[in-house]
Amino acid sequence: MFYNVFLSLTNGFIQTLFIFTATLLGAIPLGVLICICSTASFRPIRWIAKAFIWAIRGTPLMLQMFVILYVPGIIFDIPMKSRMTAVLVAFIINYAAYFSEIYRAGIQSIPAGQFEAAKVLGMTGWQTFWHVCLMQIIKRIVPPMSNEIITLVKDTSLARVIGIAEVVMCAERFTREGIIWPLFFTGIYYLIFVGLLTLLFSFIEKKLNYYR
Amino acid sequence: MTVIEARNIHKSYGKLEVLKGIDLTVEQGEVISLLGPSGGGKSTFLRSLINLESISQGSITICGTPVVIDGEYQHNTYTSQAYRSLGMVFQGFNLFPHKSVIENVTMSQMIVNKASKKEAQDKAMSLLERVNLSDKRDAYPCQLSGGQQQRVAIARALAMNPTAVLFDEPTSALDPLLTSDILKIIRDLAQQHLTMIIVTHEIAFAQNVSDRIVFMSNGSICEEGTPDIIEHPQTAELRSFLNK
Repeated sequence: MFYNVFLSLTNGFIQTLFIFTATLLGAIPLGVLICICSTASFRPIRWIAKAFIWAIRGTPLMLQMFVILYVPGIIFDIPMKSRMTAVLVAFIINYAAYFSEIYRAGIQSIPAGQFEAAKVLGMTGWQTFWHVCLMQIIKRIVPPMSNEIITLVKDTSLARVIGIAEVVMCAERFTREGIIWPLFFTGIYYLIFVGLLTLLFSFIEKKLNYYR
Repeated sequence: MTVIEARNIHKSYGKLEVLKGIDLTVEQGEVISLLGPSGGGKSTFLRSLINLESISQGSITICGTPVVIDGEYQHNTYTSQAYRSLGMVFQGFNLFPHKSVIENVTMSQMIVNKASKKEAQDKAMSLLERVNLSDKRDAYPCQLSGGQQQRVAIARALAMNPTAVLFDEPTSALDPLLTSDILKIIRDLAQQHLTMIIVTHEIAFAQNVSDRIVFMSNGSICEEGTPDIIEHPQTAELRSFLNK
């Protein structure tokens, strides 16, 4: 019995990890793009990016998943091919919006004096970003990014509402047979994984601690 | 050779005019101190010479290259080389915190001047020796005192072989003991005939180190001349500034 539950939950958790990894791979670069748009000097682009961030942060991720699952089929008559695609698109867009705001805070926290020093030394904008700003930005965004990434681990459980068999959904199946404990047992999976991530993030923070 | 020629520099923030027609010519090897009350436009003027502030009217020529003509900024393909002949030292040091002392000094040599790592490091070490910090080469800025950070910043500016160095209140963030270290280095540079413009509140130092003193107040030059003007001020503004 325990072996069956373990097998089923582990399979579910592989789905969880897949959503987690794919979301990070998509959202980290997409966040950069949104961040560039939301800080652009060309106003219409900035406004569109800000409105987009507002809409994404202002509505539940669950609702966004439903919209992406159904709207293409209803309006454009191209039904979403797979539920997983809908989940990933919704997660990537949602997390990219949050990440972009973290990046923006990181960039804007660099003191003006750093840009001035780079400028009088003759560096171009790109050289300044690459050699002067990037490491300082990364150091500053690691703690808030860790926070979001840990939230993402648990948000993956939302995918079950449109029928993705991630770990919680797998556990729920057992409740129909009157077995409830697997549902609580899923907590162990999350705790172990978040524990590992926490160790990783504190390692990265320590690595970046060589300067203040 | 004329290093910097600024004519009729005006700058306004909205309705507030902070520079009201400044003229200044700096010859090679000259040391000029800009004195005056806070808010008088000294720093703004200095920063506009190196393109950290934009001016609304006037012309600036650096080492023979016109960078601003009658308020019109020239394209940076023509001006970037000219601006590179100026170095700057800031009140707040502005070292790169994630780079070690030696990296702070080698970085722009390698990125901007395309020097090899070896060349850049040799030069950095000789400059760090000059500012007496060669033993701190691998330290990070946060591990240094303010005075040491400012010495690294001076080495960093000198590493780019500037024709002139602008100092924007280089000792204002330091306590008196550290101030004298920095002033000594600037005095050494003056003896080697490096062209310098120094915004400072250290009147005795300015009198001692400068070839020329320019007294600015309220957005204009009130009085300028040899360091003697400190002993014999002609204008009421300079007299009241010195009596404070």
